[in-house]
Amino acid sequence: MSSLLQSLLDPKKSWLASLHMKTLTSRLSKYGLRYDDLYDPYYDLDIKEALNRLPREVVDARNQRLKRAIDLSMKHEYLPEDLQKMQTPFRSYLQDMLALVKKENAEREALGALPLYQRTIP
Amino acid sequence: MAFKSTNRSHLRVVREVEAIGGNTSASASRECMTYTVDALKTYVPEMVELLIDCVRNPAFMDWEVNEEVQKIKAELEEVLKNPERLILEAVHSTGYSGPLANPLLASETAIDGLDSSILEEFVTENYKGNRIVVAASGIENEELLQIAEPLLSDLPVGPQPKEPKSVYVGGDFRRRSDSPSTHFALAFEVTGGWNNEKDSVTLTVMQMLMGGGSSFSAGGPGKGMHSRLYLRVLNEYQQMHSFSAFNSIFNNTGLFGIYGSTSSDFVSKAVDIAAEELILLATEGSVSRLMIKRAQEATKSAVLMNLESRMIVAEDIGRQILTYGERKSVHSFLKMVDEVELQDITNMAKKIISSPLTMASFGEVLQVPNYESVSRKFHAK
Repeated sequence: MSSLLQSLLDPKKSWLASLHMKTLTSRLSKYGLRYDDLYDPYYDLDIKEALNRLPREVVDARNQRLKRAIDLSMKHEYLPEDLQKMQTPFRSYLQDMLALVKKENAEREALGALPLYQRTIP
Repeated sequence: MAFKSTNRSHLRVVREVEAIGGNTSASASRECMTYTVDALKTYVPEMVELLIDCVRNPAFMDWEVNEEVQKIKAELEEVLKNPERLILEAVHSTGYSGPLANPLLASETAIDGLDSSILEEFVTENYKGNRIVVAASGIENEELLQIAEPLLSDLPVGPQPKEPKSVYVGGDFRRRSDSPSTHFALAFEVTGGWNNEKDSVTLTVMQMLMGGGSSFSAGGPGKGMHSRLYLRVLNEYQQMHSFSAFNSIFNNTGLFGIYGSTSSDFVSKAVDIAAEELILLATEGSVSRLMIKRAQEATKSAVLMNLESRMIVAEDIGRQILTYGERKSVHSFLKMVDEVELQDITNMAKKIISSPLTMASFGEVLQVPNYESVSRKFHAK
């Protein structure tokens, strides 16, 4: 069952999935963003914790990309063509740390300890 | 950073320790690092496995290291409230040049540069097979061997490092601060250290003989105030807050001295008194046989009372094996204490004060007399 899902979602196997990936690549690189930049620390506190643990350079680069994208969107412009060719939207920096954080929280819950942080809905 | 994450997460380590009802602790000193676990006898395999895992495979995660560094910085600021600790550190760092001078309280710049990679390097370099001792008290050697051997047998044997020599030089350390009381210490070198057992025993007895403490005795007035420094100094001069002898013995060398803290206007007189006491110790006939006997009995009882605690016994076994290569029985130590003679003490004191002086002071340091003038007192006699 899960392997059927995988083959549906894998860009190398499925035509629909690779179309999705190509569209995402072009849209993200028009604004100079990476897929991991779209993860919002205010939405999920695990993302906030993972960002706290990453090295400072990585987090600074993420913030600069976000600022550049906000600026471009305000000016109703896209990134210059030569820079767009250099973008790597699917290079990941957050996924491993996020998986580690989620694993630790799951272990915490399994051991019956109270969670370190809880989301409050304002 | 001692019992934090290894391959299992930090939470898991803590929970496992709690599950067996154990205590963990780690301490670092100038010549060795100690990691201790104690729990009930039935949990020995779990304990040993946990201990060896935490020692061998610490995963120094960046965020944990950063947290600990913050805590250490906070502690450093606290230390200014504990001038005695500061002065003892200062005496070591000024008196020695070489590795023994490296302070146990790290400086600000050193901490800022601390990184997980540095810690990892330290562990891989230093925790080699021939430099670790596993000591336990409360179980048989064979049992411990059975459990610990498969866990440790594949530890690589590193090259035996040459112990870098550190030379005693003596010196002066002053740190000005606005405090109502001033703290100072005078110290000298004791050659030999633990490797010269007779001398280190004599030194211990001498420290018990001089004794001293703070003027507000914890047991109520008159309790336990029989040591020389109490009788001669603290009972005479009211401005002294505390006055005591201290010693610290390393493998090849040691320090012996007097630490005092007084109100700031009395400081120069206090330093003179301290110098006088030390000189008097070295003159013949000033110490009576009764005082020596009292000091010997006090040393013996302190040692035996400490050895009643299992934790201290295990630490003692480990340290003795690291220093001597074997464990000497407590009886031989007690016998050596009994053999200390009046003449030994006098000779030792003469030898000690012939080494250069180390002075350290904290507080109103302008009142503290000049290093030269104090040092001249010891050589002119």
